[in-house]
This record gives sequence, C-alpha cells and structure tokens, in this order.
Amino acid sequence: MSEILISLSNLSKSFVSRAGSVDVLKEVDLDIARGECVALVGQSGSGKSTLLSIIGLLDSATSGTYTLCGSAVSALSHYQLSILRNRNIGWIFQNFNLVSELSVLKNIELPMRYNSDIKKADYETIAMKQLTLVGLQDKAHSYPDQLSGGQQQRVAIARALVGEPDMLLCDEPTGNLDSKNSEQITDLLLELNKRGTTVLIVTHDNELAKKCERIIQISDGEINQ
Amino acid sequence: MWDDLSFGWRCWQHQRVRWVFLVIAWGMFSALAVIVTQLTVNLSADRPDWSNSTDSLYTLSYGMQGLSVTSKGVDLDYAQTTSGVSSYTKYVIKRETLKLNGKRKKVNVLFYEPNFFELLDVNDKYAYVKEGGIFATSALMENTASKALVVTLGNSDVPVQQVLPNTFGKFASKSVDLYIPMVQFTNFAPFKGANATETQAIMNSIPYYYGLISVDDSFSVTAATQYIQDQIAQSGEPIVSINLEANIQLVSGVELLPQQRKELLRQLIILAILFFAFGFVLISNYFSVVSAIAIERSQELSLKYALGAPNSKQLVSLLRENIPMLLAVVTVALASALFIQAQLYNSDIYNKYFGTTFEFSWLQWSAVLNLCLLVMVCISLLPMFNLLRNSHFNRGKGGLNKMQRRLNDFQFLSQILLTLCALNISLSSGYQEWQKQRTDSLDMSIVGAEITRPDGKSFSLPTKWLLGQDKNIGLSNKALIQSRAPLVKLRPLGDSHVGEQFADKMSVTSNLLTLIGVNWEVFGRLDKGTVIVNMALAKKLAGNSNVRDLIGSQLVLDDAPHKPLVIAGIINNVAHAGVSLSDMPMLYTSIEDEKKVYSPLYIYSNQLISSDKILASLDLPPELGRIKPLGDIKQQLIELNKNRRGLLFITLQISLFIFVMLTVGLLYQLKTMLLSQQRTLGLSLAMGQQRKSLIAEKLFKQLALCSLASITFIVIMLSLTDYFTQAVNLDVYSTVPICLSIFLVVLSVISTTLLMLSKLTNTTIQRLLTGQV
Repeated sequence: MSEILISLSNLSKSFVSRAGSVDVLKEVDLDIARGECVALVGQSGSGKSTLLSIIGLLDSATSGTYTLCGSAVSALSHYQLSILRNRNIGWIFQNFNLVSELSVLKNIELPMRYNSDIKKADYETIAMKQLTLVGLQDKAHSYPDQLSGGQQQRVAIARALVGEPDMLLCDEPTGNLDSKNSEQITDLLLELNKRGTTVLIVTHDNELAKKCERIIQISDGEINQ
Repeated sequence: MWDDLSFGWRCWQHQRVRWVFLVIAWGMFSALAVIVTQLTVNLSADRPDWSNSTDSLYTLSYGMQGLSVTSKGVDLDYAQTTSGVSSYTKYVIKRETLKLNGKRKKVNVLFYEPNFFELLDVNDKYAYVKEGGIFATSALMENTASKALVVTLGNSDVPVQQVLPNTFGKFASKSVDLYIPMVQFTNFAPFKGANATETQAIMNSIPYYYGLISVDDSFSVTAATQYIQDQIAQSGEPIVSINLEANIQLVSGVELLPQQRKELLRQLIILAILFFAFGFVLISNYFSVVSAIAIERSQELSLKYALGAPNSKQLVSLLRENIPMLLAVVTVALASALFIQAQLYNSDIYNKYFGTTFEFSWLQWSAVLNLCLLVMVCISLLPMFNLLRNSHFNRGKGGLNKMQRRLNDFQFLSQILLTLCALNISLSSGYQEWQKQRTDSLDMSIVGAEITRPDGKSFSLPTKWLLGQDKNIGLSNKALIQSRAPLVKLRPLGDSHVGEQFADKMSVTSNLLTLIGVNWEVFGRLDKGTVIVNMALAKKLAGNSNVRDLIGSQLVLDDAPHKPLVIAGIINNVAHAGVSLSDMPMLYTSIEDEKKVYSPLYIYSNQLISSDKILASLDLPPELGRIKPLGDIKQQLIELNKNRRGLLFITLQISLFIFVMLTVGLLYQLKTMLLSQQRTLGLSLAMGQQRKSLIAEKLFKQLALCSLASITFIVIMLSLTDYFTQAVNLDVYSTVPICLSIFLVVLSVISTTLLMLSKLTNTTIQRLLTGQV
C-alpha cells in the first residue's frame, strides 16, 4: 500500500454561536495516500470547505487527530505550520486569488519568498519553469487583470506548484470558468496527479469528480465514502 | 526588500488620494508635534547653558514703559531685603553703539554686577569671569575679524580680557555680544541728580530693569511682590510708584520680557491643546482609513498566509511597504514644519521672544518625528495584526456580529465627538483672535497730527472743537497709538468687591470715540461727570459679574479723589497700546474738564486738514506751533495687527484640516461599515427595499449618533468653560464656534453618508452579494 499522506481520526469541528454549538464536522475518519486524486463532494453547508481548510492548515479542529506527512499537526507551532503550508501544500482557489498589484511572474514567485531554501537568484528560473508548464510563458510580465479567467487559474496552479508540494488542495477550481477552460484546468490537474502530486479537489462539478480516482461524499459533517 | 518596496509603491499608485491624505495628515501632525516640542523645550530653559546653579532663581523686572525717571526717582533694590531671598544681583541688557578697535559698531551689552556670575554659578571652566572685566563672545570676535579687541568706554580704551564661547552669546531671550561691569554703566547713562542712585541712573535710560534673585524654600512670590510694591509705594514720586507697582513681574528662572512670555505660554498651551485634539482626531480617522484598507487587503494577506508566510515575515513585509510613505511623510512634515514655523515667526511675539534664541534642533526634530512615525506605523499595523491572527477567507461573509456593530457605532460616535471638541477649540481660538483683531481696527480712515507748543503755554482751543461740536475733528491729550503704561490708580465706589485697579487715562473730546468708529459694548455720553471704560478695564472692574452692570456705577481716580466719575459707556478694546499685545485697561475722560490743555495735543480727523488751518484755528502763529503728521491711523493699526496673525492663521488651517480629516475619515469609516454590512445591505436591496428608504434609514441612524455626540460635546464644553478661561483665557463656549463646529460636522456626516450610499447601484448589489470586495 502507498504511504499515507493525510490521516484524520475522529476529527470534529464545531462553531459556537448564540443559538448554541453547531457541529460542522462530526468525528471524521479519513486517510489519503500519496499520489491519490480525490474529489470531495457534498451540498453547500455540508462541511467540505471547512474540512479542506483544516487539511490545508488554515483552520484547526476542535477535537481529533490530524497527521500530515507523519507529523501530528496539533503539536506544531504556528511557525512550523507555516513551513508545512509553504513546502507541502499548494492551494488553488475558485476565485484564483492573484495579487492584482503584482505581475504574473511576481505572483508565482510569492511562495518562494517564504521559503529560505530557495535562493533569490533562482526565483525567476523556477517561476518561468512552472509558467511554461501551464503554457503561459509569454504572459510573465502581464498583470492579473490583463488575463482571462482560465489564464488566471493556470497562473494560480503554477504558483501552487513552485514549492513542489506533496499535495494540491483545490477549492472549486473550475467554479468560475466556462466549460472549455474548465476542461483545460481539469486536464492540467489530472496531468499533475499523474506526475505524482496528491490532488484533493472540493467540487460541485460532477464531470470533474468522476475523473478523480476516488470520490468522498460529505453530508452534514459526516463522510460517506 | 525591493519587492516589498515596489509593492508599497504600486499600492500608492492605485490609491493616490487615500495615501496623499494620509501623508499630509501625518506630515502636518508631525510638524505640529515638532513645533510644539521645540517651543516647549525653548520655553522650559530657565537659565543660561553656562550656569551650574541648581538654586531656585527668580527674575524681578520693572517696566517703565518708556517714562523717564527724575532725580527724585525711587530706589529699586528692595528685592535684596525681601524675605526668603538668599542673594541678589542686577543686570541691564542694552543695545549700544560702541567703538571697537576704533570703529563704531552696534552691539548688545550685558552690564553685570560683581556677584552676577557667582549667583548663576558659572561653570568651573569659565571661573575667570567671576574676577570681572570686559568679555566678548566668540561670535563678536569673528564678526570683527580681529584677534584682540579694544573697547572705548568714555575717554579710555579698555582691552577685552577674555573671549567667551558661543554659549555666552545669549541670555534669556536676548543675544549678548559683550559683558561689561555695571560700574561702567554711567558712561552710557549720564548720572542725573546729586542724590540719584545707580538704579535710577539705569532707569533713566532704559524701559526695563532686571534683578536676579536666588531664593530659599521660604520664598513666596505673592508675599515678595506685595513687599516690593509696598516699599515702592512709600517712596518716590507717585506717578513713578504707580507705574512701577503696576509693572512688577516676578517670574521663575532667568526671564526677560515676562509679559511676552505669558502671552507666548498662552499661545503655546492653545497650540498644545490643538495638537492633542488634532492627534486624537487624526488617530481616530486614520484608524478608520487603515481598517478599510485592512479589510480590502484581507484577501491578499490570507492568501500569503495560505502560501506559507509566517506572521513575522508578513509583518516585515508590511513594514517595508510603508517605507515610501514614511519618506513622503518626512518630506511633508519637514515642509509643513518650516511653513508653520515661518508663520509663527510672522507673529510679533515670536519675533520678540524667540528672535535670537529659538534654536532649531535636529536632535529634537528627528526624535519627535521618529516618534510620530512610529505611532503611525503601529496604528497602521493594528488592524493588520487582527487579520494576521487567523485564516480570513470566510471573514466578512457573515458580516459583523451585534457586539462588533456596536463597537463600530461607538467608534463613529467617538470620532464625531472628538472632532467636535477639536474643531470647537480650534475655531474658538481663531474666532477669539479674529474678534480681537477686528475690534482693534477702526472702521474708517482717520488721519492724525501731533501739535506741540515750544513755549510751554497752553493751547487756546476753539470752543466747538473742545465741545466736540465739529463732527470731523476730535482731540485728545495722548496719541491713539503709542506705548502705554497703567499710570492711574482707581477704585470703584459702592459695594464692589474689586479693589484698586490701574489703567491708562486719555482725555478726549466727546466726539472722538464716535469719530474713530470704535465698537460700543454699551454706548454712553462723555461729559465732565462721566467716564468711558474699555472692555479690558470693564472686565477687571466687573469681576465675575456682567460688565453691563457697571453702567451707572462710580469710580474714583487717585489724581482726583474728591470727584467721583460715573461709568457711562463701555467700548471694545482699541489697539492703543501699539505693539504691546496685552489689552491695556483704558479709561477716557472728557477733555472739557481739563482746565488748560498743554502740548502735546493730538488732533484726529476723517478729513485732511492743512497745518496752516490747524494753527489758525488754535490761534497760534506758525513759529509757536509745530505739527507732526501721524499718518493714516487705520493703516497703522492694520500693520500692527499683521504681526499678530500667526496664531489666527494656524488655528484656521488646523480647523480646515480637522474638517478635511473628518470628512475623509468618515468616508472610510462608512466604507468600513458598508463592507462589514455588505450581505445585509445587498440582501435588503435584492429583496426589494428601495434605495431611497435604505439611504434615509442609514442617514437617520448617523444623524441620531451625531445628535448624541453633539449633546455630549455641548455638555463637555459647558463643564470645561471655566477651566479653559482660567488656563488660557479661551472661551470654548461661544455660540459662533459651537454652532459652526456642529454645522460642519453634520454637513460632513450627511455628505459622506450620501456619497457612500449613492454608490449602491444594481451592479454593486451583485458584487456585495458575491462578496468580491
């Protein structure tokens, strides 16, 4: 069996409001192996985005254990979590989240600025390599508002790849794209998975989900695999 | 580093207006901080740099207001016998034309007594000055470009014994070129009268005389002043005694021109209050602006967080991004500080007091500026800190909770309240200055002439002139504009709680005050049995009661104790005192009552009258009358007031800036509120609520908060009125500034609310609902 990259055990998340406590995730158990391509589907409010945020170390669980690359996340400091996010996780968002004040090249270089192992002199070479991979090498000096939605998402993917992360976390990656661009982005993600990157996609898009090797259904905070 | 800098620069490019506002606001604030600090530091020095003395020192100054003292003058050295005084010395600072190395040159000379340097405990390094002699400052030596200097005193040439370093180049507010022993003073002020004291000789030639005393713990300023006044009252000529009594100033430290210092302190306190008010408003508004920026940048900061940026690195980036702005702030602060300083220098009082002593210290400047910048950076990062704490992708989706909304309302309320207070203080001081200057000027052009009669006989005046029947001509026994002293002692009759007062007296024709167009507080007719007082004297006589209650009450003047005069009218102050900035208490009696009118006589008219006609009317042959034209009096008053406008301009500028800050701050405050309520607003509009009703609803809420702030503001001002009046003679509960402040704030609230809410169109509704800010 392949190495387990993500392991969730009895993981719960609840929010406290004036109306009382709301359980968003209920004792979730989940293992994802290295190199898997997993689709996380469910209705709005089912808890899939919260689960993705916890896996992506943007949020923490109320109870339970989360082990990433063999390390228990709850035992790590904020700084160590930052390093994990920077080196092991690549994020792709529905609304691309490119910084409008930075050029395409500078957007891609952004994660490298937080990685002390990469020399500044290498930033541009690495960024151009990833940009070539997504087919936008001629747009290096453009700004986000000069690109189409599909191009912006490809830049976001290139940015997610610069740290050569173990996994890509995609939150509705095709949600803001037309069908042609959706297809191109889906193919790109599957291609990356084939090269060995673990891909976890939160989506409403059934076509995209079907192309993944495993689909995890989540409803009312519980997982039905 | 470069990436952060260029990012900061790009942010600047995208939001020029916002950044320009922030830069100017902080630049002005820093400049004000630097000015207030430098003035405070300059004012707080109470002894020369070269003094090692740790004793409590006081300066005793007597002002003679230009009057000469006869040989029967009074002895002035009473301070040394005052209780609590351990040592006493006196000195004189005078600008003299001296022969230096045979060439005549104007220099500032400090004449000192033998114990002068000892009392001030001169630094051991310069202990030789205690032995006496003539000392020159190094600046004078450089100026004369000579290695040795010989001063001609009387008929003898005396070599300068030592050259003193630059620190000796100033003493209190005066610059000093030469230190000369007091015994040489008679070379400059000829000894008058066989029995005159040295002090009287001094007083014959200078308007101000200074005594320096070192005191112990038992010293009391009130008791000492009373003692000296009593001693003076018991000796010498009454007119000299009255003048001296009224002009005694006993002030802490080595201090010249205490009257100016008092006024300067008042202005400094007003500036400091404005500075703090300005600071509070700025910080409150700046916080709103930065909060709006923070909300807008939350997505970017969250992204960086997701990409693995540790908080420390984000913080460093934010700091670096601020560098272009900090540089811009430094530039603006420098420029505005120089501008404000130049305006202050236009004010006569600053020229007088700081003309030679105001020091621009780069150390103070950079320390204060850095502190301001640090405050700015800290405040700008505060909202960011909040964002850096956690993931923020979901922030704002649900809007603010009730507590956060209340906090927002509270911030809005306090912002309005602070602005109202700051605006009112600023406008009140501006309004007060403006009123003072307005009432100082006359309403019409008046030409004046001084007539003297060398033969010493009295004038034979035409009856119609004397009775004020010629509407175009008014007479007085004193010039309208001249240096004045409170020479007349007076006391109110009846059950008044106010004791004796001092004032200057002018005898005028009954038509003169109307002719020169003074502003009447209460109109009254001047005749042999009545007197008109100005507002400065009226306030002193009225004490805590209304000045109008004085009408009909009686005064007794010291020079006519058996003839009480009835107060018939009150006029607003006229700038009779010339360059003196304090409001001189004045009383005007009828010239008809003078048995004979001697020269000089002053004639004022709204028409040009030829000298021949004047002399003919006075029945004087040309050889017996000399006429000196005094020019356009109104123009002269305008010129005088020009020098007093520094504080007025500054307060008006600060008022304007507070208003702009409020408007911009409110705009961003409302933007922040709008961003936080985007879902609710979008939903309300999407569900069919009309824009008009939404705007009306929001406007009503803002105006309700505004009314609450206004009521609180009025209560605060009402309770602080006495405090401000006593501390800085500033009326903060005056109708015009209060109403104007409320009007400006309401105007700003209405316009910004309408401006922000008018942006709610169908396109923005969609954006609000999708949350893509």
